[in-house]
Amino acid sequence: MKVSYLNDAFFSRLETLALNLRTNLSGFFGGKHLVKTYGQTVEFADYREYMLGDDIRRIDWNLYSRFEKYFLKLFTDERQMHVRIFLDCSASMGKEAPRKAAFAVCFAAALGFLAVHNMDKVSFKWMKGNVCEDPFGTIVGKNTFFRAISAFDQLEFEDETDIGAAVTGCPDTGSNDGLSVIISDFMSDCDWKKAVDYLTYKKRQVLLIQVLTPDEVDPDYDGRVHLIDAESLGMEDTRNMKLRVTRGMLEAYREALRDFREDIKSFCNSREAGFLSAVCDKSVEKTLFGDLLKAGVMS
Amino acid sequence: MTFGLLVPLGLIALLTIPVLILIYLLKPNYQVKHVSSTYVWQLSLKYRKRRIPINRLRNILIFLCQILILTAIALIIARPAMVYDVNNDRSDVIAIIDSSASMYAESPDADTGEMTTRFRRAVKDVMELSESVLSDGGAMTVILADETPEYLGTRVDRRNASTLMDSLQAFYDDEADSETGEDTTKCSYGTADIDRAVGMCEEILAENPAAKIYLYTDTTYNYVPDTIEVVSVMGEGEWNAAILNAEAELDNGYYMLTVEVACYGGGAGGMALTFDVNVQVMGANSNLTSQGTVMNFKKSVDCSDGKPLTVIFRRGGGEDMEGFVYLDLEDGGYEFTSYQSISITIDQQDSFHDDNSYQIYGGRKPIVNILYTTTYYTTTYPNPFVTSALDVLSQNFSNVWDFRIREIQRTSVFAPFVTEGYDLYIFEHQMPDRLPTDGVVLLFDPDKAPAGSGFTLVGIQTPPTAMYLSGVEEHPILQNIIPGNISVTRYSLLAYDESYKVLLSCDTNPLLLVRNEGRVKTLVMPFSVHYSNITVLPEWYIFLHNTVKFFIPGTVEGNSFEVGEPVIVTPRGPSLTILDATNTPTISYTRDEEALSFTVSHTFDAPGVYTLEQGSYFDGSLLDQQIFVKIPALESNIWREEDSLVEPIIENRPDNTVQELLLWFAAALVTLLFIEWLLQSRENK
Repeated sequence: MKVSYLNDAFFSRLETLALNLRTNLSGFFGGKHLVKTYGQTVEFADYREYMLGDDIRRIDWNLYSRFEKYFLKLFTDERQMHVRIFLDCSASMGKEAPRKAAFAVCFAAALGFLAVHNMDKVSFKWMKGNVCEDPFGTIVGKNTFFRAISAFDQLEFEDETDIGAAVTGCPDTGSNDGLSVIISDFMSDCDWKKAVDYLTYKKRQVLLIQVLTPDEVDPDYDGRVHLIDAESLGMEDTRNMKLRVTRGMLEAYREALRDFREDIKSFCNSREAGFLSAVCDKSVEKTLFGDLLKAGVMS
Repeated sequence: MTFGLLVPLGLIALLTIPVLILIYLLKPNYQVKHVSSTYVWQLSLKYRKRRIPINRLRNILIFLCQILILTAIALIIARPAMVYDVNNDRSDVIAIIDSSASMYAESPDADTGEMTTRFRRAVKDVMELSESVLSDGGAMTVILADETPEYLGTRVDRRNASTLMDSLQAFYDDEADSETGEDTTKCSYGTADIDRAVGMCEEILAENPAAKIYLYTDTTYNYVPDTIEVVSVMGEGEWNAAILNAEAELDNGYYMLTVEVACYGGGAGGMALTFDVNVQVMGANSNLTSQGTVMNFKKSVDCSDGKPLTVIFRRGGGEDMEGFVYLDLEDGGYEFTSYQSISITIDQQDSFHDDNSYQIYGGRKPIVNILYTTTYYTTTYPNPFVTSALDVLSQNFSNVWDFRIREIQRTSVFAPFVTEGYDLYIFEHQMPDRLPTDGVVLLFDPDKAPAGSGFTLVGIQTPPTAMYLSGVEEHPILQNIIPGNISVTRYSLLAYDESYKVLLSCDTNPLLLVRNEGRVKTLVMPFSVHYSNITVLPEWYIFLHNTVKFFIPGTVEGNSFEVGEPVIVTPRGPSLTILDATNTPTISYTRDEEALSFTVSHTFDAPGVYTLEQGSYFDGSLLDQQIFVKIPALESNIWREEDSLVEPIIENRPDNTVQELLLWFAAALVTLLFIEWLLQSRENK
């Protein structure tokens, strides 16, 4: 069953938001993001003494009249960023939970919209197996963006994904030019930390979005249960488990999930990456306007 | 009283147990649940792992509880009950036969005229009662009450009465067993524990509260409970003149003999209460060269009925007063300073003969030879610390041993040592070339190691200040000795072999060693009394006392005992044989090879003279010591009266013969249900 949140009303609500990116990124000329480098905008940044070779038109004569020294007036620069969104397309993200897939896709689209809305470039990377697919290339402008997202419904979630291998193997991860978002449930033995380390090394701003279903946060089943993993290759797969779910077992599960989330969060903190764990029964807008705003990723 | 089920068909409900097992086997399979990922579940197992063994145990307990619950339900349906075997048509009779020593009192039988003991009379009555009860279809229980009462037969009916009747007949006939030759007379020479015998009746009364109890005894009880009928088996005109106790003790160098006599029933039977107390002293005034003489003297006494009279034979006599009469031994030249044995008799044809004679032994104590050899240069001769302690020892052990102490001061280093013929050797400073081959050897401050001693001297230690000793190992020799009180300022260092045990040490150096090799016991104290405070402490005498007590123990304390009284015998050698009056061995004891001490507790079951024959460690010879065993003084009173007879406890039960146990099983069921609920609630946590 296909579930989709993508419609005009949704995008129109996002127009008030903007991605809050770090100012030490370099980016490209022509965007709307203020950066630390000095440029030709009207926003004052600093003064500096005149040096030989400087444009004498930028000398602040008012200051000369007061100090009888030549000072230049400096202004901030605005740059265009490239937002790259890596979406985990493994079976765990959607095979047994269409809402989880829809939520993840919607979240990716929302971040993409925010990028093009703020005159940034955006790329969608579908992580499948060990590779990243880039079906739409670099998207600039809303028309291209809407054309691209019309194909989102055809996205299939199947097999396994090695996030580390897919990201590090991606030929177009960029360097010091914007935000990289990894959307996944991170529930696999793959080395996703390798991907974060790689993107940090490439001086990208990194944001991890964990998408979970309500069942994964608080399982509502008990008794003797045979759990079949969506990524399992058959009934005999070792990822499938036979359990007697008791209160104690559920308590242990919650404890394990809490530690799992804390592990991701502390790792992200150590790499100056952002992390957000979202439950797909919440609306995407609430997550964007609430959790991401609180986290400072949005402004 | 047996456990029964009023509705046995109710046990069909036990079939639910296989059903329960079947349910467990056919329990629904696992519910299949498709999830996005089991990754977190795998992680959660680590958190859960430590609780798994408890879970398994809990599951087993739940299953057991469920089975027990079903069993309890089935039993409740079957109506469990205690069924009492009460047959109102059958009479239950319990006969207790008093078999104390006083039951040996005899008098002419009223029917046959032949002399019959009370015990035989009681047995005859019980036989007649048994025949009567059994012929009426009743059950008979007979208890023989001596010091440890026992059943002769329990609830015997007509079908299995032969064994009981044969036993009673054998008692009555007083015949020896045809196969073993043992005397089958079951009347003891001790006391009877009637209270315990009555207590044994409670077992029968629990089965049948209507059971009748008959007590065949010669004791008169002022209060008898309604549930017991006392049958007196005393004969007409029975009386007893008895020697209750006797002892000889030194009084101003001469022995004084004290004899306690009494007469019971004499007045009632019209017999004379005046009789002679005859004394025969064997080996009187014997010494090393003379075997002594035999003395015979007697005192005529007038006994009041039931009141003990003390007859005192002593040199110088005394003034008669109530309860005491004297005979001056000097008048007839009967004073004696030593004796071999004393025989006291009452020549009367009374009803109870076993207390008409008494023997006193112990006039000649075993000799313990002690040799104290001191060095020739000792400033004070003899060493007063040693000699005074030996004098006190001699006095304190005078009732057990005759100490012969010899002191030798060596005048020259070349003077020969005496190393044989003594039980205790004490060598101070100068040591013999060879260790004595028998006895206890005490080596003080050795200047050299005698051959065979197992140690060598390796040096002299002189601490800068007085050092205090510490205990190393617990040992009877150290009993009541506080090592921390003893200090030394100079001592010898020893190297010793493994046969020694170190009892005291100073700064890890041994200062008291002991070795026990059977024939030779060696104690080594490698310090001089001049360099220690030990001789001015109580520990000094206690040490010597403990040494003598442990290594030269007295065989028995006293020489007369009562039947049934445990007699503690400490043999001097590795074996002990007890012989009866006819010199026939009755029992032998052997010392365990590993044991340091050898103590026997023996109980005599018949009066008379017994000989304790024991091997000696020192020369291997056999030593004899005679003791006298008498009947308890209480049993001489053949007309004894007691205040009350103990009342047996009869359990109150409902009139019907069945006591349902539904309540108990229901309580058990509720408990099991609660436990099962508790376990289930824990299971789901």
